[in-house]
Amino acid sequence: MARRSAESLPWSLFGAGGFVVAFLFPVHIFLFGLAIPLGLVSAPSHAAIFALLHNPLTRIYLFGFCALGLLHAAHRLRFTVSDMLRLKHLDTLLGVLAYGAALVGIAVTIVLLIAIP
Amino acid sequence: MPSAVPQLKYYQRRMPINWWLGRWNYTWFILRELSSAFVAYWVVVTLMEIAAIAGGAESYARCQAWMAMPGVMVLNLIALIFVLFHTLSWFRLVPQAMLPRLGGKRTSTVMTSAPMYVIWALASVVVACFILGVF
Repeated sequence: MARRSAESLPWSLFGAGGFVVAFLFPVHIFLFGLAIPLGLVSAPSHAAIFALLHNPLTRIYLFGFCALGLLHAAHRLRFTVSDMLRLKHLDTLLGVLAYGAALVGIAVTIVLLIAIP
Repeated sequence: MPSAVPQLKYYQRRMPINWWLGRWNYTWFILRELSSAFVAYWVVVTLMEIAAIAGGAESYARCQAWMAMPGVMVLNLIALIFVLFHTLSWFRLVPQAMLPRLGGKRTSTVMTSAPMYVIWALASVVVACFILGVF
């Protein structure tokens, strides 16, 4: 029987992150990054957006949004930097840096989401 | 008969550092992969927004003023273009790779991608309604 590769976990997280980025990131960037700042749509009031953020389901959603986005980006950036700049010999270091940064980001996400009053 | 095993030397081609600029295929590939840098950027922005909203009405207003700076908006536009590039390439390639055959026949890219666009549209509308307070 074929042995499961040690890469299967990062790979499946990369895949899940790819779907999250593809389905959800464009609307977030469009609304928060362009439409609201340009005044194309009216900005949600602080009370309204705070109430939304207060909802546990929103926090679970944002956890998935940020964590899977970070893991996806880490996996891709690791190999992009390695391929683009021909740093194959630094593969392990790049992996540690990329996934390490993603894990720090996930920890920050958890702390922020728990700390919401 | 010689006893020494000859040392094999593999030929390794030296790749120039700008190898990915030579052909459009390679450049597209690298550009698509670079979209992930903007994904990371957007997660940072999202975390900042969460902190700002949690911090109260004043910090939320400061965050909105920051987001309305022209330089930030240009960066956001570039991020949106890169992420859309990711979305389109993901819908074209991934479902095709997950379901290469159906009923013994090769599935067409249209068959596997079309449902992705429908789900994308629905998800975007639902998320936008939540953010803008329609629900």
